[in-house]
Amino acid sequence: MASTSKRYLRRPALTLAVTLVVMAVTAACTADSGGDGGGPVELTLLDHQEPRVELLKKLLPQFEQDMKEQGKEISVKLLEGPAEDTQFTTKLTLDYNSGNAPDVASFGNSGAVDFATSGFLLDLTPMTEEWTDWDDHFYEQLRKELVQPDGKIYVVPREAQIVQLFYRKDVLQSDGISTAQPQSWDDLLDRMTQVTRESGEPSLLFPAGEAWGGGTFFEGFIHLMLGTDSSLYDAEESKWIVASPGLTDVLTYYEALTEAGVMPVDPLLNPEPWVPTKYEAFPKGDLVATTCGTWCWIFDWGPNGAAPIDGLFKKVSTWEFPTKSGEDTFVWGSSGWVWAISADTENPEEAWELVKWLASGDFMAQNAVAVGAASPRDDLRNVKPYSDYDFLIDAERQLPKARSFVSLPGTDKIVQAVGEATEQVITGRMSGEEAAEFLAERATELLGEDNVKTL
Amino acid sequence: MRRVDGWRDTLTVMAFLAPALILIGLFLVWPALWALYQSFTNKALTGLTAMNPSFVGIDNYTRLLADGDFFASLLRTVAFVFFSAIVGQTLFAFLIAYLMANRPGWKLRAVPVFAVIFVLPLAVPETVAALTWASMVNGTESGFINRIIGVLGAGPIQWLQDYAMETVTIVNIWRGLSFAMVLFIAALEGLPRDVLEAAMVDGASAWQQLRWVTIPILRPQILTFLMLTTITTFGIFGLVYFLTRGGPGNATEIVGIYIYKQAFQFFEIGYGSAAGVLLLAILLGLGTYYVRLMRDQV
Repeated sequence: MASTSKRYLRRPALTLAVTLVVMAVTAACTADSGGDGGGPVELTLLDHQEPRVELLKKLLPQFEQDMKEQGKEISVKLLEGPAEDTQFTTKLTLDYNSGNAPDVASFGNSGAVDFATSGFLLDLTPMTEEWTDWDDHFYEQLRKELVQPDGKIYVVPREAQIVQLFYRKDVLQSDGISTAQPQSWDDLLDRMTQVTRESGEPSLLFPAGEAWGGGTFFEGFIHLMLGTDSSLYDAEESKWIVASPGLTDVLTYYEALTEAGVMPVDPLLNPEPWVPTKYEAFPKGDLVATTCGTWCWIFDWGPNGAAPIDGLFKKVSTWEFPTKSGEDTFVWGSSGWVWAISADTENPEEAWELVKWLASGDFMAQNAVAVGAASPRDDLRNVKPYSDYDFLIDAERQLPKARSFVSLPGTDKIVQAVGEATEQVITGRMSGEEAAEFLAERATELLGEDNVKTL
Repeated sequence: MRRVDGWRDTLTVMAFLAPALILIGLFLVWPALWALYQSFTNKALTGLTAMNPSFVGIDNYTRLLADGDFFASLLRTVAFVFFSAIVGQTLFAFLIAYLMANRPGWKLRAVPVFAVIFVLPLAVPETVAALTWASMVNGTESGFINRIIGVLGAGPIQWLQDYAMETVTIVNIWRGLSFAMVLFIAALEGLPRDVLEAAMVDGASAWQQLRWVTIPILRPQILTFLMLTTITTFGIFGLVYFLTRGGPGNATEIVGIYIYKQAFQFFEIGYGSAAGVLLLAILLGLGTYYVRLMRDQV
């Protein structure tokens, strides 16, 4: 009986063992053997947000056609990432880390330094040196801004952005409040306090808190910081300045805005805080002034935007950012999104052809109009459809004199610390001065004592 | 059952167990060991430590144990587990199962209809459930819940702003009811009828039957469910993330969201792994405690 049972057991065990071996061999044989070079090339391109993706879908066939006419068989597979910026950045970062990165990707300029420092991006310096457009047409300010700490270039601008204060001039006029350029922070606060007194609603938005992610820093905090006499980074010592009079002034100003009731605090604590503020309260006229960029004319409040405003150009106008002292108001000007090539790409030359095409002429002009951006090069003002958008060309004219902040290694940690510190202020847990101390401690903890200094 | 005898039998047994063991090893054991290793490094997803992480010993753990935000998220999680899993899911599911199960002297009509209604949460993927609820508890007048209370004359309530933790607790109770209910119904309908009938004959009231007969007999199943729901709720992420992202502020930042933020928003893999390992240790401790309770019962 025992030997019969053993025979019965042996057969299925043998079958199972053979099956497993066959499966393993089959899997090995069907593994992608990859191409040996030469012949058609398929590039992968990762982007997100509907207007950007739709434009690529429409125009990439033109690129493929242009390449064919040059005798190059290059096709592009478009990959669409999550719509929200934070989630898209997470996905792209994980892709770079896992070795599954697309050949070409587009992301916010502020991410370039981290990706470049991590070794994820292809060094484009030799390519840009050979590309006459780079020196001849791209704005010098933007070219310089994109040079990374190692002196190399890893990204090419997709667009340029001007960020300033957008305000509802119709609401101010009907309230009898001046629409003249506010010169100082106090001037701005006084006017917005009057508005809030009239309406009972928060009237001014400088993004703050953790929910807004990088937007708290790049759409809020930095535009106040640039209006002080302090700097965030000491280039000579290569150290972040985590405590300074300017930092304290900025956080104290957030405190003043909160105490005056002009800041919309509750929405800032929620996921997607831009929705109840920029997409609901501003179109409604409850929120009267907010920081925003060139994209807001089209992406946010344009006819096909997230929250269209009828009669946009009659109702909305812009101010430059006031400063603490009241001298020299300014706008922020920088690359918006950039193009980058993965360091692991198997087709660097073809990928560079794609990036050059995307950073030139027709595509760039259409991209600027699709997302609401200024051109980062000076030779598109006569290229349709960009040539029809005077307000974008006006924004482009402001680039040479605009202020900006160059992202450096550790910027992500400063951004994190600023988000946490501003959240302490707007929730009333800390005063501006206490939050400044908190920011110094937190930034030191995140960056390391060797990388920070105080003033 | 025949004993495994000899190397051929052993090989056969291992051959059949191999696929499952390989999968468990690859997708459970290996990631846990890898996370443990990462927790002793300063590995990040960007920056210099992305390319060249270094061993930092217990620095991540030291930092974690000094991090007020981590402990705050842990406390929130404990409260969330207690109210949604232990009290909410277990009690409500037991009550519903008790009403729906066939027992001597009790048979509810239209049980299939109720069964479909209560099993529905199980059929819906977690993300879909979260987004559906987010729409229902929308703080504007057009939110489904606000429309209902609007009919009663109450104003729109910002559920995810003013009652965020309460809302996610209710959503998690709803989500976990189905599984609990199915488990308890099966257990209740498997009760020995003669014991229940004897209790009825002896004049025990419904409450006395429940308290002194039913619950003691079902204690192993109740403890099993408590263990499962405690562990799964402790580690919950998707449901809360898609509802509130841990907000407003960090009002609903449970430990799963805290770990996600550290690892995938701030890209600090080493630090996030340390938090994950600590969570794993807590859950192992809880699991061991429950197993001991069940063993004592036996």
